Amino acid sequence: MGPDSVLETVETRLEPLAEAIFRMGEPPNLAGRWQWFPIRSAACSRRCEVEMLVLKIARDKKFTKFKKLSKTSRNSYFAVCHEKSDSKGQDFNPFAIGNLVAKDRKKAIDARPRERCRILVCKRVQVVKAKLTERALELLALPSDGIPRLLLDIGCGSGLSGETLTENGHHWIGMDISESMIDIALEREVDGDLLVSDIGQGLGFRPGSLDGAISISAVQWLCNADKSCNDPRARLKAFFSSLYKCLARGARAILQIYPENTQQLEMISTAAMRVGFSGGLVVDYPHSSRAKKYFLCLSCGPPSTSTPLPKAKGEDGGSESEDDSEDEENETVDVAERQRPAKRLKNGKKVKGRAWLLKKKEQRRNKGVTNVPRDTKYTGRKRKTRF
Amino acid sequence: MRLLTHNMLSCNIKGVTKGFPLSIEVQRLDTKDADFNPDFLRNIFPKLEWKAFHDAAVSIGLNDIPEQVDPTMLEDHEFLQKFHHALLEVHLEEGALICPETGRRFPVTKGVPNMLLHEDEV
Repeated sequence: MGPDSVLETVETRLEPLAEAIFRMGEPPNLAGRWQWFPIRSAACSRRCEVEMLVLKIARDKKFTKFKKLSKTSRNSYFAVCHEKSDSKGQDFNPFAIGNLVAKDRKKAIDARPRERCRILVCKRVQVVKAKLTERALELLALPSDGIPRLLLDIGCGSGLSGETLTENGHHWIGMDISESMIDIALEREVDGDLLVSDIGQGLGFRPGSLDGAISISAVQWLCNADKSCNDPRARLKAFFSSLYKCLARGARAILQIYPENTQQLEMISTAAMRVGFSGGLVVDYPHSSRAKKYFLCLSCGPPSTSTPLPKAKGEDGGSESEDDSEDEENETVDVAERQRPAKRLKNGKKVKGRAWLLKKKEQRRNKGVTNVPRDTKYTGRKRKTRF
Repeated sequence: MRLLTHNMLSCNIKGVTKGFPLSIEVQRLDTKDADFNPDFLRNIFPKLEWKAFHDAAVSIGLNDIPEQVDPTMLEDHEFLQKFHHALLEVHLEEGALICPETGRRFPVTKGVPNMLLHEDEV
């Protein structure tokens, strides 16, 4: 199968969705401004296809400038600009805010797009998300009595995770900040109720109303300070404290996150623990950088001894046991790393015995070296350690 | 948006203490079928605020929900059917949710309420 035919099949699937997304970016007052779309896909090759398609559609829509801003393993950021560039005559890079004069900076910051359109088009992404939701449900450890529960799907996006929840027979309420993603979810006709709300402002639910909460790759967005007035820590605090309030006693929340670095991970975990949650971090496949998944498992109420933290999945059948110190006063999240296999010691002390020494001396005498010491009972004798 | 969700929603504006329940302004309703599961209804019954549920049902035009309920009524099949219909099958498609304390309107479009707060309300 040549690359063209692959692109065609991708194209037929992507066309309507990409059209919808580009339609949103088109109003005339955005001319001269950059908009960027993060493209997320687990597989690099798929991402390239999607990028090519985005380029093609962008050209059709008369976007004239393109920029690929980041090439990290999971995301690639794509920026497009409509029609002419800005008045300065130079390329306007939304990330180089510092280069502009003060009055232009405010304009630039305001011009940054609020809507983040995640192009979840690849089939593989859908499969990955479904698997993550299944795993989150597993970790949620709801009693298996067949009664549907009321769950909250935080950052439900286009409803992929919600569909898995419905398949497992639960009622759910989904929330997302992006109206465009909610529109896509409505088109999929998902079974759960949807809300447009910002989790950094707190969840607006009655205390003790939910049986559980899951979130698939959404909570790490709280760490991004989107607008200059937002403080990630305050947002995390608002989110976790309201989540703690809304969950029923003994209910759990499973949040799957993609932290950018260990600081983000720590920031999220400590914010959760400070609010009074107990629980810890479960890392699936910790040794594979690609398949590694972080699940923050939080439970409301005192840690119960009958439900220990679930075992994480690891490659080669090895499972990693988590150490979560549930100290009431000082709630910290500890991740115990598997001990590295002991380094193979070098060949100890190679003791060259007396026999070897005598042989060497004989060899030298045969060669013709004159001043080889004579062999006595002291040759090759074990000396004191001082030597 | 179902009445089940409405029963759990409250207003999140800073400083508001009596943000529950939100009053409903109806512009368009819709009815979609849902699987009838009496176990779920019995399970969710203690979590519901019955008075709020009753008031909400009345405001969208369903008058067959009784004001006072006791748990024995949960065994009655007919009551369960009405309960199920009101809770899960009626959807508010267009309208608004209004906070009882501040009067702030949260518009509902295509069945999705927009609960985003402005910066000064957080």
